[in-house]
Formats: sequence, C-alpha cells, structure tokens
Amino acid sequence: MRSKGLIGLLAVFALGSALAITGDEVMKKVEAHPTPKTMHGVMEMHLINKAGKKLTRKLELWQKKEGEVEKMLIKFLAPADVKGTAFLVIRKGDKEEMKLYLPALKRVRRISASQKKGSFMGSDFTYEDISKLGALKTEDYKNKLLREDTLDGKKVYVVEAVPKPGVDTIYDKMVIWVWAEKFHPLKIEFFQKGKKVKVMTLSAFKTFAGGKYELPTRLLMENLKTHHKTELLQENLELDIAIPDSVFTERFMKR
Amino acid sequence: MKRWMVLVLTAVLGLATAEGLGFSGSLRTGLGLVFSDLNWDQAGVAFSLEGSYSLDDAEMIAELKAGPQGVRLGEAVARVYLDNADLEAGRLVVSTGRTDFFSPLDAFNPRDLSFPLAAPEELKAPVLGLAASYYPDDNTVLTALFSPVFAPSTPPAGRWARPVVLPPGVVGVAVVRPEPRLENAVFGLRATTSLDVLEGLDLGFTALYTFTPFPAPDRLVYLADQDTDADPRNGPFRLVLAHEREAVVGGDFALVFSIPGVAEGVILRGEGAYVRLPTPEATDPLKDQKPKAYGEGVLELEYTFPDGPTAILLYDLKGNADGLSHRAGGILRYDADERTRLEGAALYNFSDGSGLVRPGVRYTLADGVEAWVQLAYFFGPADSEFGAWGHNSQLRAGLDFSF
Repeated sequence: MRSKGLIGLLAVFALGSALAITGDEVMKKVEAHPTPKTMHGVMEMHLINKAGKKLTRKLELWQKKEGEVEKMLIKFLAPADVKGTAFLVIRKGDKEEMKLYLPALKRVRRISASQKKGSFMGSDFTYEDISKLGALKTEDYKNKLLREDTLDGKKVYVVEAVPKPGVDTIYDKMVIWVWAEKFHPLKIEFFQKGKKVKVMTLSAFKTFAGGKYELPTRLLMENLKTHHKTELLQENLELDIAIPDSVFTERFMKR
Repeated sequence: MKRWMVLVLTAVLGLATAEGLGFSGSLRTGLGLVFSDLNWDQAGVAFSLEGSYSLDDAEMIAELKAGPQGVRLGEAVARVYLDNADLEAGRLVVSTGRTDFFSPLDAFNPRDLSFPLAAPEELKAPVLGLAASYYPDDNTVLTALFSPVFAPSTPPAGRWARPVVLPPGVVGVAVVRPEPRLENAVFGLRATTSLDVLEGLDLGFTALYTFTPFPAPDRLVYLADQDTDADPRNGPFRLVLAHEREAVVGGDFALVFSIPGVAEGVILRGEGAYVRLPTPEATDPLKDQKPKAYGEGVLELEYTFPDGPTAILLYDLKGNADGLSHRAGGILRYDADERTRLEGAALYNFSDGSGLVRPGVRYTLADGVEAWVQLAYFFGPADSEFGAWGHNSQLRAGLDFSF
C-alpha cells in the first residue's frame, strides 16, 4: 500500500517535471535557433485547389537582414506569362516599402502596403506569413504550454501563442506544435475570430552552412475554409552568403 | 517572308536551342462579336517568339511578332551592365512616364493603335535607338535616350480607322516624314529618384525632343495642272501632312501614405507635362488645324481594399489656347482566387460626353494558359473621342498561351 502511494507520488512528480517547461521557454528555445543573415534560393510554389488541380510558380528569392532593416527581392522564373516580374520589400522598423516591376510595361511601381495582409502571389500564404517565417518574435505573444503530444511519431510541445495588445497581426491566436527534441515548429494552426482558419505543416528539415542551420524545405499551408493548399518547396538554398545591397534596387529588379 | 526575317527567326531559334539560352513566347488569340453588324472582329490575334542570351554583365533579346499586319521584328536589344551604368542599343521600348491610360511624358516610343483594344504593352512600338542609364546611387537613375530616326505612331486601322473629311478644294493628301538626318534625331533625358518621405516618394523629370506622333496639316499645294476654273483660291489642292517638332517637358511622382484608421498604403501618382510646338503664322490658312502647344496633368489614386479589389481612379486635364478638356477613368481588379481575375476599366471624356466601359474576366486553365471574356462598349456622339467607335462595341473572348 505504501509502495503504491510512493509510485503515485513519483508519477505526479514526473508529470510535473515534464510540464515544468513553460510555453515561453519552449518558444524562446525555438527563437534561439540561429537565423541566417542572408538567404538566396529558388522556391517552387504549388497552388493546389479543392479538386487537386495544381498551378506551379517558380521564384528566385534574395533576403537580407541588417539590424532593423530587412530586405527581400523575389523574381518570377515561371510560368512564362509572369516571368521577369519582380517584387521588392524593404522594411525599416515599422516602415515598409513594396515595389513591383512589370516587364511588359518596363515600369517599376510602388504597390500598396495594404496588400501585405492579402494573399501572397495568389497563394494561401499572406505577405505577413511569408515575412514572419523564421522570425516570430516570442516577446510579441503570450505563450502558454497546452500539452505534450506526438506528431508523426515525434514528441511535441503544443503551445498556444496569443498576440499581446498592440501587436500588428491578422491572427488572434496560433497553436504551434514544437518538436521537443530539436525545438522546431512542425505545425502551426492559425485562428481568426476564434475559428481555426489555416494549418501550416513544416517538414523536410535540412542542415545548411555545415550544420549551423536546420531549416524546413517544405511548407504546406492549407486553408480550412476553401480547402485550398499551397506547397512551398525551397531548392538550392544558400545561407549567409554575401548579397550586396545593390540586389535590392530597382536596377536589379529590371535585370 | 522577307529574307531578314528568316535570318532573324533562324538566329532566334538557334539561340534558343543552344545551351544556357532562353526561349519564350506567346500566342494570344481574340475574337470579337461586333454588336452593330454581328460581324467578327479578328484583330488581336498575335504570336510572338523571343530568344535571349545572357552573360554575367550583358544580354541580348530579340522578339519576332506575327499578327494580322504581318511578321515584324519586335523589341531587339543588346544590353551591357557596367558598374554604375547600363547601355542599351537596338529596337528599344522604354518607359518615361508613371500614370496609366494617360501618360503625356511617355512619348519616346511610337504607339501602334491599329487595334486600340490590344493590351497596353502591345500598344507601344519599339524604336531604333540607344539608351544609357547612370546610377549615382541605389535610388537615383539618370537616363539619356537617342533615336536617329523618328518613327511615327500607327493610327487605328480597318474597322477602327476614323473617317477623314478633307477641307474644300483638297483632292489629295501627302504625308511627309522627317528625313533620317541628324537634325531630325529624337533625344531625351529622364531622371528619377526615391525619397524617404511619408511611406515613400518617387520623383521623376523628363525632357524629350521629338515630333508629333501623328501627322497634322502642314500646307496646301496648289495643283495648277489640274485646275479647271483657273482660280487658285478654289484649288484643287494637295494637303500635305507633316510631323511638327515638339518638346515635351515635365515631372512625375508617386507618393505612398496612410490615413490612420481608414486606409493603409494609399498611392497617389501624378504627371504634369508641357508640350511646346511651333506657333503657326497668322497668315497661315491652316493655322486653326495645326497642333497647338498644350499642358496636361494626370492624377491617379490607387488603393487595395483588405481582402478586396484594387481600385485605381484617374483624372486627366489638358489645356491649350483654345480651352480645357478633361477626362476621367477607373480600373478595378479583383483576384477571386489564384485562377480567376475579375477586371474592369472605364473612361469618360467630360468634354464630348463619350466613354468606354470594359468589364472582363480571366481564368487560368493551366500554367501559362488563360481564357478570357471581355465586353468593350463605346458610347457618345458619333464625332466624339470614344463615340466614333460606337459601331465597334463588341463582346470579345480568347485564349492566351505563354511558353
């Protein structure tokens, strides 16, 4: 009888220790992964509708972070009717400028920042989703550990992240499934007005720069309202390479 | 097919099959059912084939186009990218303006208006020339443009051609083009810069020395050998049309700003131009028909509604010694999903009460394959800017294939 009581006590203690990690700690460990200062690679985007029909877009991406300044240039490589179209984003703190180069018209145009809350190139990702990939700021959210679970055979922490007042985001909650062994998000559920609207799964993790970075090379975003999916595959990623500032200019957009 | 076209086509295909070379093209089809006579308007079918060859600091692009007007060379340029400068030579297409529909500063390239409902990029024709751009910093560009031969714009053709009414006594018309001499060269300068004002400000300044794009009445030639009443005042005359030298000078801007709590990321664009033309002599019998110096200003406001359409509103004011005329326009674009785009455009000329409405829908069937349907409805008095095409109101449909 005494031994049964001891086992029970140990079990409660073990569970307590296991959940001793907090949501904030989980997310801080996620955030503690080094993030590359520059990135260059080719992305293939598959837009898959409810019937399973697929459209493919191939993009070349350059990204650079220097303190408060973030720069991103995307050039379309395919399909042929949008080839050469280039999209430039320069963010300095809260200020953001977006430009679009239309090769048929030979014009670079400023585009409206209100588009950042809309679909990214017709996909299920918003501009906000793309810009926050790998750059989720822990201090912007109240993070609460909901439970431990398993996902595809991997032990995960399930964390609820609610944006703090004043944080500019289109989501009112995210539930993030963090791989307990490596502290990488494997799945993110996005909520708007209390309803789960989208689910993103991150997979095909690969190491780069001699093991310094481990990043997902396949992202799948599913819109639960429309049952539309977008798959983003990253190819030939180059990290921390020297990318001159001249890449993030109108001149380079036109080349 | 002309021999040079065969050579160019062979070269383009040769380039395209070689390793590391680019090859692309498109086939645009379009057929319109004209309401007035229930005939088919076949204009708008076009095939283009483009070959490109890129090196680290240079590239060449050649485009062949085929359509109802025949086969012709499109844009064909060689570009060299230097440290702080780009050089471009060949058959160029450049942009020296900023606003949609009405862009008085964008006057370096001639326009091909043979089919006025063609896509905006199809309306601008390439011109033989040189362009040199210098980049003193990442935000500023200075561009010099030069074309040794003036190329006139192409007026609307076929069922789109406007009726010509000849003055009394005129029995024939001759068109005189500027001869290809150095003093008839076209040249221009453009400077643009971006400033950190509000949410971003772009400024531009343009000066072009060119000719009027369409020929205008220049003089009457008395045809004595055909005169039956021997009175030179009654004619017969040959009306000579010519392109006048014109200087286009002006500025343009794009400003992004937000109205807190109302609209985020509103874009205001504008262009203002003064077009100087020779003043006809007081004794010139054609002085009232000759083009006059004018000023033109365009304002354009663009806003994308959250999860909604992009709306563009335009206002164009033009004035010369005879008075003012003003037009307005609007564009609405909405991507219902990644395959379906609803688009509409409307133009209205306040001065003559005419206009155009063009709603349409575009659907992507597969990568690079789009089907579309569009209505083009012209209204207004028969002698007005858009009303003159009232008989061409039509429902158009087509398939575009890009490869």
